[in-house]
Amino acid sequence: MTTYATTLRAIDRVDWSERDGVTRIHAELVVGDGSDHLRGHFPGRPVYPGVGVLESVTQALTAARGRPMWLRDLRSARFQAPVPGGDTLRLDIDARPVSPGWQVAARATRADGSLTATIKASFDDRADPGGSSQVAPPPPPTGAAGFPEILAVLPHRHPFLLVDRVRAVQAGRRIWAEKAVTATEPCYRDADADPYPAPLMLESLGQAAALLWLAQNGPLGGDAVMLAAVRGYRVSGHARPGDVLHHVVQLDQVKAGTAFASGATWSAGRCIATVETLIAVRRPGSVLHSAMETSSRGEDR
Amino acid sequence: MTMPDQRMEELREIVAEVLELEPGEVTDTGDFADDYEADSLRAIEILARLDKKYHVEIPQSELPNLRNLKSVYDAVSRYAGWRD
Repeated sequence: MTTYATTLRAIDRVDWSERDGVTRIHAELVVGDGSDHLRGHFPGRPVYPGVGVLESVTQALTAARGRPMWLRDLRSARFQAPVPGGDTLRLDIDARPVSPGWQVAARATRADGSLTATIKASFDDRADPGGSSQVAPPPPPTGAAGFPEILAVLPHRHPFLLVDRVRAVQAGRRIWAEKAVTATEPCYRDADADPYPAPLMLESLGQAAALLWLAQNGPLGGDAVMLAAVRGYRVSGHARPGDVLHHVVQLDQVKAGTAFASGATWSAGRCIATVETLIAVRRPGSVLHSAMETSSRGEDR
Repeated sequence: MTMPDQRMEELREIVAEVLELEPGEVTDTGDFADDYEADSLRAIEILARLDKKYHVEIPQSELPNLRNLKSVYDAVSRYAGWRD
């Protein structure tokens, strides 16, 4: 297997083979080994983020193609079970050429063999395809929240707390939130000039959605809000250090303890990403702990 | 097509989209969990889409009954007041 490392380390080893036009990629990551992000996701309770799996798939595909690959369309992501620190993430990816780029189907499992995520997405090698010129809807003059209020609601911490300011929130309906992209973030450690990684843009949008849901529902207490699924996340542009991500998220439905949201991200006067559906579930914090116990028992076997 | 047939086809499309299958792959009695590997979140997604599409509120307690397309049809019939 090839050893692999990047600034935002999402795979340790990757290997691939080709047959009948399909590239089969296998990659592994020991979670917690070399990842800055786990310190903030979550303090004292490390869990590999769902969007981390998306980054792992991106890096594995980049390794197999021999050049940077960029997420264009995340048709579907399902996050079935958390991967706690110390566990091993295993990825099996089928990549097929399409025009332009690659269509990918990925399955991620933990050391105990249980399924943790499935991803269907397309990628291509255009770092910045441009985005569409479009003005973000202006926020209404209501209920803003600063960083202290965000800290009080979200359990995420540095460097994985990816919302800086809430410009406005209409409880139960819509939120306007911002995140400044800066060169001090771990993904820019090696002064890389690349666009801000799409999985982090998606996480930032997801945290805005969580703030919206919790603005209606009250703070978490011991609960955890977990990203359970994503449908139709399309990336049409990118941001770089110095840019601000402006998210606008609508809460479309809440059913059976499950929130359905949609939204878009703007930067420098362009719409750079849209999402049809983000699905989040609210679970007692004990669910994460018991997931870790189950997972560590699996390791012992 | 009769009205029930049309509604059945409409539901087949909704269910297929949630399960990430082609409508032709979803049979009337195929079990969502056993035959299509659907987890509990998929059932909640189906429920949410039914509420939105048919302007009904199917209670969460119906979730265990939504096992195949036919049972989805029956549930929506009850809450939307469809008569065959």
